[in-house]
Amino acid sequence: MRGSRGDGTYVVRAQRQNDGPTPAADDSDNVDIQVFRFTLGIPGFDDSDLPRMVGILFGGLIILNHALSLSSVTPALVRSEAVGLFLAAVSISLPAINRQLNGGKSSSRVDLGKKQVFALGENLSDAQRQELAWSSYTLLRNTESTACLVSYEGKVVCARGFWDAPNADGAEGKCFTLAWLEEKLKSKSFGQLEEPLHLTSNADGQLPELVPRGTASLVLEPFPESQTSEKGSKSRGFLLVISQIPQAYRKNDRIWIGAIGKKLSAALQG
Amino acid sequence: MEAVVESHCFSRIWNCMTSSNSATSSSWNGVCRRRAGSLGRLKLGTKVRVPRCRIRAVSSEVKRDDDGDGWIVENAEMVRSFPLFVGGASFAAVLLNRAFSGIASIADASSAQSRADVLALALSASVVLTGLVWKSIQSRPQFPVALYGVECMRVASSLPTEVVREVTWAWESLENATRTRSMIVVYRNRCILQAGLAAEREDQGGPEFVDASRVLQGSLYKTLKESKKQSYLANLALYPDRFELPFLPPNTQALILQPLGEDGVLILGSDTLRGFGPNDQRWIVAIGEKLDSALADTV
Repeated sequence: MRGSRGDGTYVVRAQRQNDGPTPAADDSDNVDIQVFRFTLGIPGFDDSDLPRMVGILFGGLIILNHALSLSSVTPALVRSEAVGLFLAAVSISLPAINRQLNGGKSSSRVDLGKKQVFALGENLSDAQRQELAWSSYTLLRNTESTACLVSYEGKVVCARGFWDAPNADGAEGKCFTLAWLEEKLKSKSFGQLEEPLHLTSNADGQLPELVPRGTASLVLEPFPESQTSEKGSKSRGFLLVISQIPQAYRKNDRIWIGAIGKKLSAALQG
Repeated sequence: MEAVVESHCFSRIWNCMTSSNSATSSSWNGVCRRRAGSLGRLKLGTKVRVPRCRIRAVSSEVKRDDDGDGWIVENAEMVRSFPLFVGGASFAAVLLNRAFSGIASIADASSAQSRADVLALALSASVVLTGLVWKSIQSRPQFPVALYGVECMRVASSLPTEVVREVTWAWESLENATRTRSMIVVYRNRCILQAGLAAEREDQGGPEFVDASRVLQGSLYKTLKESKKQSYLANLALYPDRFELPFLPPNTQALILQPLGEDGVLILGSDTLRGFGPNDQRWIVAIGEKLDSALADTV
């Protein structure tokens, strides 16, 4: 939507922005609205960063003012300046808080300059392949995930999305990708986790050997203990989803990831 | 300032479903025979205006203890009010400072005090306006209502185990992750599943039966079949067609109809007005596709 006002001196551009879920105290779902909002329309400038710009600019001016009037500093001036600098600090931090409130979804999308992979393990029945294909597709589409992985009985049975895998094409390439991911997982025994592992930021710093660089959040959902497998054995598997966005997985997403994990574990056992 | 411009637009809050979540745009390989349209969409013309009042957030019996989403998200209400308080308090502080320090009430550009005050006031205004923006985009809370009905779990007989597993999984997940309280799957003139709350039969009690052919001939389903897209009746009480679905609890608040292939429908009722968010709708589309592909081979 584009409209000019007055004698065309300036243009206001309105964008339809999804303000993301409004994470009110209970946020089992995101709020079902979209807002038409006018933006400044400056390319490359996110309007939610405006308070930060104002804070930096005005905070700088207050310091400049102080520097220019060193000769006549009164207690009242010091008090005003203290309040002003405090406000500048608040202003500068507001966009960061806003991003947290809205789940980081308002920030611009991360560039994924990598190749997508979709690889299914061998020795799977048709039903299992369908199940894996649907689950991985749905997870990538319905959550903010950039990649997902399913491991079962120590083998990676499905990998999909943007893994930093070495370039390889064709059927052999897929096996290669799976083997490459398996190698990375070898040192870990995630399948024995009792509770889902949820990292909200800097996942690549905490698990550098496993996830691609730039991964911010991840959820690792261990499959529920089955009756047939021995307790504590390494036979269980897990579902792993990763995202480049911090706090990408809200409670509702994690419930769904848990449900998909349950479904996959049932399908893979059957 | 951002907030000034924005406040003009709040009256234009649309209920709109065209969510574009596309981390990847690959297709679901080889599983679904056909993908049902693009994404779930509201029936055209379903426009809900959200009043401008700001009220507390939705609270329901959904577990709200320790979400693991971080302090800011868990205390969102408080955080949203924070700029208003900080900005307002600072505004007052600057003015009081000026009043009680015996400064001439004339703002004078040559005085360092006046310059500092003006800058501080401008900053406090910017913080207050940001706070207003944060506070104003909030929906009216909807509280779940107690539905009149009886618990029910009927699965059609002579279905393969995989299909039973599939539909029960769908029901359990939807019940857990969304505000779905009743779920009905009708496929090729058969009622495959009736789960959750159902209306009570007037004569001898017990849950009402689903008349599959009546559902498939009703006008609700006809519209759905033409559009081939999810239809979301966010406020079911406004739709007279709801009487075509006598098996739902009479005070069901919101309803989603998700077509399953050519000849089936997934009906989900919620106990909350506008109980299905965009995220829920996406998942329901995905589950619909899966149910269709599971049922198509067997029923």
